[in-house]
This record gives sequence, C-alpha cells and structure tokens, in this order.
Amino acid sequence: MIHIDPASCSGCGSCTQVCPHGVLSIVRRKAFIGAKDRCIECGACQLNCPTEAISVQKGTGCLFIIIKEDILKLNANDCSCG
Amino acid sequence: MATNGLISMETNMKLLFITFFSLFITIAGKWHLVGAFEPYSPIFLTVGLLFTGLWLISKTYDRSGSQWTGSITLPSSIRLTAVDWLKAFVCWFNAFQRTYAVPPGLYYTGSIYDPATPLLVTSNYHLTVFLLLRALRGISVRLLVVDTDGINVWCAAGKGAFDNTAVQRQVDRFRTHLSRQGAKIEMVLPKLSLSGIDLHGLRQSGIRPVIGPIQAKDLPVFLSRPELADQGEDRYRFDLTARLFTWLPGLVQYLTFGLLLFMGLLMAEAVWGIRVPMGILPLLAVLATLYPLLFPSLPGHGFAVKGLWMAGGVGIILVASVFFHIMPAGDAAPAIVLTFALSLFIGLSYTGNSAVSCYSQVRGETARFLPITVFLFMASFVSYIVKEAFK
Repeated sequence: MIHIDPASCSGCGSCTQVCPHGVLSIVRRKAFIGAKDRCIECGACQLNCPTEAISVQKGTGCLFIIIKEDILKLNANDCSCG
Repeated sequence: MATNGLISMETNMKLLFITFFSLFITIAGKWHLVGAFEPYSPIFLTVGLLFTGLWLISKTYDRSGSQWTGSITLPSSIRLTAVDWLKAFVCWFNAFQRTYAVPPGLYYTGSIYDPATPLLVTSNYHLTVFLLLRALRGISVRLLVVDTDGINVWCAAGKGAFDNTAVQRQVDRFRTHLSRQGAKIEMVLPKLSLSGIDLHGLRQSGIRPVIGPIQAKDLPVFLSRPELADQGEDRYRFDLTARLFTWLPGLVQYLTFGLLLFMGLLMAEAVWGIRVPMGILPLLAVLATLYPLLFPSLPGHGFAVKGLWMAGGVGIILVASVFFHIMPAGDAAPAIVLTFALSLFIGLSYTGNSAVSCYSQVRGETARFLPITVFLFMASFVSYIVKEAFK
C-alpha cells in the first residue's frame, strides 16, 4: 500500500519522475495518487522522496516469492530468476 | 538455498529429478519391468535426453559472487558474438533463470575507450547486457556493469542488489577513467533501477545521474539528442511484444510443472492401474498460451480473476463439445475442473512474469485463490478416479 503525508510533501515532483507506471502526479503543489490500481509497490517513490513524505509497503508481486517468504518463511533472495 | 553457481539448488534438483525419472521410465518400460510404463517409453526417452542436455548446459552457467572481485581496473571492449546469442537463447528458453552473467566492470562499444561518450549503467545479467548491446548496435557508449549477482535491473533493484553501494563500488574501481578534471560523473541509469537507487545520494557523491528510458530499444533516440534529459515521463508498457517475450519462457515453466504432475500420475497408473489422462499437457499448453495473449482483454484487475474468466471460456467450449458428442460427459467433468485449477495456477504464477503485479494484491490473491487452486486440483483428480472406477 502507498501512502502520502501531504504535510511533509514539498511538491518537488521527484516521485512522479521515478515512478515507472505514472501512479503519482502533482496537484496543487502536493503529490497525489492518481492511479492507485497501477501501483506495483516497487518503492522507487519512497526511496527518492527527499522529505520522506511517501511510505510504501515494498515487496515483490510474485507468487513463488510470496510462497517462499510468507508461507515457507525462506529467504526469497535466493530465487532462481535472473 | 543456493548452489555455488547462479543456478539455484531447486532448479538443479528439478533438472536432475526429471532426467533420472525419465530415464527410469524409459528403461523400466523398454525392458518390461513395469508394464504401465511401456507405452510411454519412447516419449520419456526424448524427455530424458532433452533434460540431460539441459542439465549438461547448466554446467556451463556462470558462478556468482566472489569471482567478480577481480583486480582489473582498465576499461574493456565489448561486442556481441555468436556465443552471446546462444547464451541469450538458453536464458530465454530456460524461463529467465539465472544462467549467465557478465563480469562487472567498465566497457566500451566503440573502437577505443572515449571518455566523451555517454556512460550507461546496467546489471550484470547476461540477457540484460545482450539486449542492451543489441539495441546499441553502431552507437559508441561506455557501459558500467554493476555486480547484481546475475539478476536483471528491475529485480536486482527490488532485492537491493542494484543500489547506490553497488554503483559506487564500480565507480571507485574505475574512477581514474570516469572522472574528468574534477567534473561530476554523468551516468544514465535505467529508470527501472530507481526502486534501488537513491538519486539524491548519488548526487551527493559527485555523480550526475540521468534517468534513462525503461526499454533498451528507446536508447538510440534518447542518445541522439544533444543533451541527455531525464526520462521521468517514460512509462512501462506491458504490450503484446512484452507479453510474447514472456510466452515461451512461461510455457517451458508451466510444461515443466505439468511434466512433474504427469510423472506423479504415471506412478499412480503403475500402482493402481489408473490410466493417465493424456490431455493434461496439451490443455496446459493451450491455457499457458491463451493467458498472456488475452491478458489485457480478460475481465478483472486480479491475475487469478483473469484466470477464472479464461477457464470459464474454455469450460464453455468443453461443455459444447459434450453437446456435440465430441467428448464424453464423463471425460468433460474432470477436464473442466482441471481447466479451472490450471487457469488459476497460471494466473497466479504469471504475477512473476508480468511486471505489472502489485505485492499486496498478489499476497491477497495468493491467500484467497491458492487454497482453491489446490482444492480444484484434488477435485479433478478425485473426479477422474471416480470416472475411471465406473467405466
């Protein structure tokens, strides 16, 4: 899930530049989640927000990683995908 | 658990298991040791030989980690050779598994190293470097290949392998060749690396990062402009070309699972005399082809929901085939249940191929639909046994 704290947002637009799916836009000098259904929770906006106004529960949307991490409690970093 | 190489232990075990089991079925069938295996002997001889070949090819995969900490600090020339095309095909055919890697370092595509040419940063997954070089044919650039342990840009960034530290490590290694009279090092980063790269942090360390395009094929136009401008507006497009690129690797992946299922059923045939339904693998191949082709047209936002719609469509065709006496009603019932099970499985596992899947959504779908998928697999198996019992 992605969340923006409007009070902390400076409206710099860094988040809109790094998002690969055009989820965010700047409305009235604040970041705005315009297309939430397109968000893949990659965390690029959170990492590149200079005021830490964005929080994302970052993760990989892959069945096999979720089975490994969440169900089998294994280290998914060792997955076989390149 | 990982092996010493890029190939994971589970992939290695899967290859070995299928190879040995196929050869066991072949030998047991050929020498009449297990009567049920006899008709399948020629098929599994082919499968066994194919997987023996794949296992032997896997011995050529690169090793990961410490081998890349070499002392080479000079830029190297890089260009595609016939071997690179073969490696790229092996990787693609092997469902984008970790196969080959490019040693991290500084490369150039021109005839000599030219510090005035654009500097592009990428991961050391061989297929990534291959696609990049293929798109850059005839263009002189410098390439800073970061050690991502043989993983592609997007996945490596998500896993934290493609981050500021990894970039900085290569910058420090080749600093004398990258810095020009104290000027900032301008480098083009793939936009998909930004889930691992903190641009602000790079700027603070004397680097001028430029957000590059998402697709390698957009690089020639991007590089032809007099000034390298951020591609902040570039969006990931999961179009038909992108989906077709995932089709064969997906098909191979699903058919490998199907083969394991088939082998399990073959054991049931040997022990209890239940005939193996031969339609499993063709049905799986059809569904695994339809799903990526129809992906945007299938109703719903969820991957599993799209799978259900596809199963509904194929199910109607199966019901119609009963009405038109093409298929006996007894065969249709387990086939329809199996179609729903396979479609749900394909839908859920396509999340890893798609690049439009969202973590929390997939987690929710897995929790809801994975138990249903398992139940449907079991239900199709039970209904098939019941059908065979009353035959």
